[in-house]
Amino acid sequence: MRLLELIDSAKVCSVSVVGLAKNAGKTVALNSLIRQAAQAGVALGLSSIGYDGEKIDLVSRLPKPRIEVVEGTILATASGTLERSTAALEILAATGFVTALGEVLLVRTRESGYVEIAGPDSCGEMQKCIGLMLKLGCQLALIDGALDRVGSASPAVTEAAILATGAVAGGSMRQILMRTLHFVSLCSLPKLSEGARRAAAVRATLAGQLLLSTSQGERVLPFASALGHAAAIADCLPRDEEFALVVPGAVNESLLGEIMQRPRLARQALLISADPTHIFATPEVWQKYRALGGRVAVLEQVRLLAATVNPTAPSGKAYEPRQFAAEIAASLAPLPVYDLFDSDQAVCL
Amino acid sequence: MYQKGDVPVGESCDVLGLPYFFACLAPASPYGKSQAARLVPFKPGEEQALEAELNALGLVLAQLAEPAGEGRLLKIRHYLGQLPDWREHLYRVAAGGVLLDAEFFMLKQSLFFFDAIRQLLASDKELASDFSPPCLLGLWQLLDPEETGSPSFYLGDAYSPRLGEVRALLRETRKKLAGLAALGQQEAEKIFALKFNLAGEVAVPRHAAALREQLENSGRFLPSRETYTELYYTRKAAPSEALLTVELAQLKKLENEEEDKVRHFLSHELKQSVAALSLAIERLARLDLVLSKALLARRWQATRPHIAPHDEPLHFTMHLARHPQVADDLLARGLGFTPTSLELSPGVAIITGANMGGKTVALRTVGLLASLAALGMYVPAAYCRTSLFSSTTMLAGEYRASLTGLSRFGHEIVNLSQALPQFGDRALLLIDELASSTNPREGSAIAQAVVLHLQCAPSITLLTTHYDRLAHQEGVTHWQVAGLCLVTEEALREALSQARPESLSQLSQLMDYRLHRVAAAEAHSQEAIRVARFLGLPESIVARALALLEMKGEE
Repeated sequence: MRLLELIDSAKVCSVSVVGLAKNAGKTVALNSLIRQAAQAGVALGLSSIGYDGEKIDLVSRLPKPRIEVVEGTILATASGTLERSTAALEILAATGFVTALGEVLLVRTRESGYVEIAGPDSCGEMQKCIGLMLKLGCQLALIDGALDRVGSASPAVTEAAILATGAVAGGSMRQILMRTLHFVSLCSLPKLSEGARRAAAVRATLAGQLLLSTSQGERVLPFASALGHAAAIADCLPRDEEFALVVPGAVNESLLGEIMQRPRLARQALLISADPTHIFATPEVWQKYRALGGRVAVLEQVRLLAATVNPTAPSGKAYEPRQFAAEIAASLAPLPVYDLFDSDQAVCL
Repeated sequence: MYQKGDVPVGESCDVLGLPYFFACLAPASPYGKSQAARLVPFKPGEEQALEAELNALGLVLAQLAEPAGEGRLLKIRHYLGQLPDWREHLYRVAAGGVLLDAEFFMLKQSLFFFDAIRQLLASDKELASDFSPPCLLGLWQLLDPEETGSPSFYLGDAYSPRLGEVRALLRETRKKLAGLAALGQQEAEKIFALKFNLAGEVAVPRHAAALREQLENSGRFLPSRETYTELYYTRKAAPSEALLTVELAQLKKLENEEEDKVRHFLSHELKQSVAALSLAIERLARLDLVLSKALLARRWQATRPHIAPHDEPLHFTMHLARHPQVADDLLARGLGFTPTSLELSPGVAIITGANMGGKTVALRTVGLLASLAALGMYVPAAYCRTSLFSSTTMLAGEYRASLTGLSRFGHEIVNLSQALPQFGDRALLLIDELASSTNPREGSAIAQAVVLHLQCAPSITLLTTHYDRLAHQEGVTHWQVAGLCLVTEEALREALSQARPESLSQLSQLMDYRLHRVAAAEAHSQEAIRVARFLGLPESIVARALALLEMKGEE
């Protein structure tokens, strides 16, 4: 099944393409989807959290694939990028969201060509842009997450996500697999089931409150987030009974580290996060936390539809393409894996 | 303190509550916001112009009072809120600059809303003549040659037949090139039994030296990149493809040149309409400001101030006036605001009365109402008649001593010296607790001397004080807060038994905030000790203070 057909069968209107690292192949995935959509007659909407589509990688200074759009594509991009696009564009509306490159405008491609895209900076604004693009007639909104930004994969922004991974994600095949599997496992963290606990967690998350639930009842901890308060939060947690802690912002390594440092605490812990994009921990720390009995649940899961692979890193390091794709596909099964440099079809196991 | 004729700024402005007025005003468009920031009060002699401004506000308020008119005006406000700020681009056009597509789009969007507002205003001739932007149909047609009627903007083929031709050629050439590339790829795959990937590359293992040599010698491939295990080649374009690629680049260049010509043409045409665009912006800025004033006047249940003619002696009257900021603050705490009434004429008037009896609020209300009226705004009072003042200054009791290096007394005296009206000034001077921050003996003397000085000026001075002697000075009008004078001892005891320390709501229920004009002999005690007792001062201290007061009275 081609990637676009897979998205179509998932019945979603918005998909983000997120990369495990820079040069993991997001733009290649995006261009492939644009080509497939043009062949299938699907009207696309495109935007990016951050900047994308430039000729030269701003970090490595190496040439990178450009985004080529066909007639009828809707874009949500900053006014400053329009002059650098070779496609003829009709400006349809202004969004009121201002970035360093000017206000984000909604434009329609009238003549095909290359574009540079710089969408809104925040997930909330991106969510609104997606709504506007769909309203303007696009059937599928594709969002390119910029460098190290997985926020666009949040279920609060897009309905589903595609992960771009590749040789650039680690120094060895083991590391690449470990990082990729870590992200995939975060996407499938258990969703907190309906009930009083979920209702309280939703309320606390919306209110930005750290909520501690124990057999004694519930209480709000006096911290705005876990950032900078990990030790103080861990001091408030009970070691002699199970507890659930709703963390409204990032669940970071400091918090996991402080919990693990205190004897018996991890095995009592259930951390509740808004969604997997709010969890910031390396695979090593995460696995240690889980091995000590620590649990994490999310209010919403990320619906990961597929992974794409890039067997080559910009440094020149490369793997044999078929073998690389097959190895990753075997590790992530049953998640479909695509090498979009080689073929539109999913890698066969 | 502020410059005469300007909006009170700094301490006076803050104390009077003008920032609250500007915050509540909240014009919808960037033009209205700039207009509000530049708002200056009408000066003595400009009474007629002020009446015209109040008439315009009255007109809008009358429209707001009717359901149909209200609907139209709220729609206009919504459109005003959608307007982008195009002034910077207007200056660029006026200076001969060439605009970008995003700037043309913003102008087209503006024209779309200008026209929508113009059509909504058309049903009321008076409003239309005052506020309607001029008809800019010519400009709209310039930016909408395809007659889409939509605010979107596209540098379309309709602008230039040449542009249309170039774009058609571009499409055709792209198609030809894509066809040739596909053919070339198929041919190469057939000859060399290789498969191109989706990036248009073929991968050759490093160990396949013969194949590499074959590819490199064929003249059909170019190396593109290499990995540890493989070499990648892209297909070299055939001469016919290379020709088309060059042609495509030339056409693209031509397209860019044609687009630039259109941008130059549009910018040049726009330059002819700069005056009309400026007028539209100016009128909509005024409409936005007046509409914002009207909406606020409705919210505050404000009334039209009566402006005293310039040739009359200075005058200020307010009846059942409210200070909206204080009233809103009290409302948030579940308390009500007692409206104040007062009448002032040239010379000095003082307000005395209980602590926490609302003396300062009365002073602020006078200053705020006089300033609002001078700004062409309706005032939050049942009735208000005022002259236009050359300046309105309030010297508050709370000086920012630490910021200036002066003590509180020093700050007060410096500000007072600067605020004293010059000979002939038609000023309104409001002073809270005059000379109260030094020893009572000398403070009282300074206060009396200041009052004597101000009595000779043609301005109006209103001050609050605890110095009893000022009330006895000849020619001084004396207003007093009713305070707790009508509260019986039993009622006070009852309230005290229920009140918590610092119970403001209990105190406010007992306190009569109304002002009464009194003769010197009618003035009652200032009730500081009763208020202190109510606010939780220990009974032993209260008793000692009362005993000391009695002893001093006997002396």
